[in-house]
Amino acid sequence: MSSDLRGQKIRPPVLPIPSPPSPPIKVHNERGVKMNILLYIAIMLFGAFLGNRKLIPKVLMKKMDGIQFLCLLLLLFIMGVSIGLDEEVIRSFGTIGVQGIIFALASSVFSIIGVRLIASRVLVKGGEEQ
Amino acid sequence: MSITILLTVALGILSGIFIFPESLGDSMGFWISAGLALLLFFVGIDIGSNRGILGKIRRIGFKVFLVPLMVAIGSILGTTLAGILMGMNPFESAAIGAGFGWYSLSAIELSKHSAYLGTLAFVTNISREIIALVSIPFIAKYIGKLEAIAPAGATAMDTVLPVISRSTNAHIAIISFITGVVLSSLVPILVPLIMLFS
Repeated sequence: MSSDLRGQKIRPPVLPIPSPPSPPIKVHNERGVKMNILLYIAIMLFGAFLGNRKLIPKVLMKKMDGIQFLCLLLLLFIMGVSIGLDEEVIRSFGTIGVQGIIFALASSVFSIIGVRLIASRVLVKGGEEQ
Repeated sequence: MSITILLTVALGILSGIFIFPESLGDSMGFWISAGLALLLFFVGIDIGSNRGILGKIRRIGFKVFLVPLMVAIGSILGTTLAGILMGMNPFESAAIGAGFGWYSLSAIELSKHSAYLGTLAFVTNISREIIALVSIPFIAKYIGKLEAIAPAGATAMDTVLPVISRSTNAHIAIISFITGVVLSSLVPILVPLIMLFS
């Protein structure tokens, strides 16, 4: 996995402990992050414009769900490949995978509980789309 | 849908390990970005064809920021508790949770402190992304649509957004994007900040 989605270089840090001073550190740059956010917003706005003005042919709109799902699966497959291609990632999973998965589960579960606590306040007045 | 997602990711990982040559690794970032751009375009079309949706979001107002706030609190609390149970430093555990699923950045930040911590942050946050991809359709169906944003964390604005959009509706997709943007901006601030205490 050589580059991530917000424009940062991904290099999972090398495991051998004790570590050399530090693994290669690409200092994150906020500007890169924000530029990508702008790109995402631009792409979605363009899509929203086309959707709003009904510029997408009806035939295509009908098939949109299927097309989207296929594209999604393709993206997920590519993401999987990029994980599998990176030996560092696979090796790190072998060593501290269990700890990482416990952390990931804990943060996911507590986030869900957190959002649950406020869900009614956010959605009631906004009137969730039926 | 969850099963299909899980199988697709697993199939991708396995073919990455066993089939594709490693030389392909350098171009993967481009293909992921390209695929993502296409999907976000579709999400945009969905949002655009739902008229009156912006009015609904405006009616929620500032309360929309309660979602990233609760996700942030939940993520950090979750890893802190799990860390204490596993006998780890609570602040280091909290910092890993503050990665919110953005694995590259949290791993880079934390590898400044130790390679072990950086690797753990990487594994944790990449697992979180995969857990989110697989569990969101379930959560949307059985727990709640707004709750479906929670496991995605910072990835609620990009990689996981298409899954959220598909499992919920255009309204939730917008809240999801906002949540992802807020959480993504918090990662580079919170992770180093929490590490100051460790």
